[in-house]
Amino acid sequence: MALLAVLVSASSCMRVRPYQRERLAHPTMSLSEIAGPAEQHVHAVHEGATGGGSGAEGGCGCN
Amino acid sequence: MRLQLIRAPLLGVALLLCGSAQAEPVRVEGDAQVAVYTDTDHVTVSSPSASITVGDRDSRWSVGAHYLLDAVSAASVDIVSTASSRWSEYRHVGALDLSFKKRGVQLGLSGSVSSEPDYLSLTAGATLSIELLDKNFVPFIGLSYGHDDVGRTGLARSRWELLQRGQLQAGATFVVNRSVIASLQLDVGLERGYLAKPYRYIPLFAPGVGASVPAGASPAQVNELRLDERPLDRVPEARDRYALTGRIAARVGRRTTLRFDERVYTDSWRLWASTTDARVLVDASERVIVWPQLRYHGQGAASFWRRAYEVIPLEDGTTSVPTYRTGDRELSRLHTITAGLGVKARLTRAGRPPVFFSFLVSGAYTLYPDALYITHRWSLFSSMGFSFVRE
Repeated sequence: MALLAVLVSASSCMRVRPYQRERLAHPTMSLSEIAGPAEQHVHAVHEGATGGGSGAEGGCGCN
Repeated sequence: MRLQLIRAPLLGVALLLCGSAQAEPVRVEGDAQVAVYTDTDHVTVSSPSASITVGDRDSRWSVGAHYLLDAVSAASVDIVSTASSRWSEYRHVGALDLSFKKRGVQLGLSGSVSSEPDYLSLTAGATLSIELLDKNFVPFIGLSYGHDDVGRTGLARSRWELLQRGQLQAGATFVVNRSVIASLQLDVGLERGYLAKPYRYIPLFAPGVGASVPAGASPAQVNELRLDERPLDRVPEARDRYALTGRIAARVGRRTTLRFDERVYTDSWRLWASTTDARVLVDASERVIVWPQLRYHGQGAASFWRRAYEVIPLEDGTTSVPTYRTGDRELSRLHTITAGLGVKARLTRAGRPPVFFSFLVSGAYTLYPDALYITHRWSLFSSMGFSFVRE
């Protein structure tokens, strides 16, 4: 998390232009949730923590 | 009047979508997947799912529909110890989402329904993001509300319990440099209502006996030491959750992307957790991406967690039951390590509409140092599917 904070601070003084984004455009460079819905549900049931998902999280349905 | 109020925005959305569809070529994305989960606690889940998203090429609008079925079969040690037999049931999950984007401002709307014989969950949410500084800085905010009806097999619907969930998400995505992108996100979740597990009965022990019940004690050991009374699981009716999640993706060399996610979490039940997820995505060839992945989740116990609950002696010689008691191991101290390998391959040649095949297999080990019945669990998850894009 500290590393991320440093990187975020560094970004404030660097502006990457659209024509400089060849490497950022690679399909693996998305920050969206990689895990599919079934894998996310396994994590939700296994772990006592929630949050960090990319959208509204539905009910667990695991009573 | 009410019907007109509903019809008007729906008509507007339809006209907007049709207008966009006529002006620009439509992009269609779809996927179908089958996932299977099994563990050493005798739980097996099969989950076929499918989704389709229609939008324009420039992501100015999109409409998505998703469906997932969970076929659950279980006979975990907790259930066996209550003398029930193996059971199975189905959970249906359907979701719709809409997205509109204009001048760098994107609005997303989503809704989902999750239904099974003893649980109904409805969720609706909205997100707003704004592209700033040539898309180098994209803040976003999201709100969602969930309404859950929690029942129990054989219990009349009128006696089901209510759980309401509200969630706020806020954060931003940053372009760090030409090869690195990162995001930081805060989640606040408020849950009010019935949060217990309606099928779990909690063994109680006489004062001084609980400490002698070892972690991982078998159902026979527990039955030998426990008192006759076994109340239902009961936890506080309010839970405030806070999670801070950082994500970073870095393109290294010509063929590798490093992805690292970290989430720190705490809640009003004094449960804290840290979850770390790392993946190395390698372009094995022009059409194949392979990624080993590693995930660690560690957490402390909720404040009211006890491995063995003891009755409370009163001055008049009688005893009372602890106000809060639970057998939910996911509220105990635990550590989970997951390791897996994923593959995504493009089946069609460059220049032709892309069709992908994906496969993932992962194994997880969970250690419960302070729980009854089991001290660890092994689990295996695998998924396989196809996806396509048409423009």
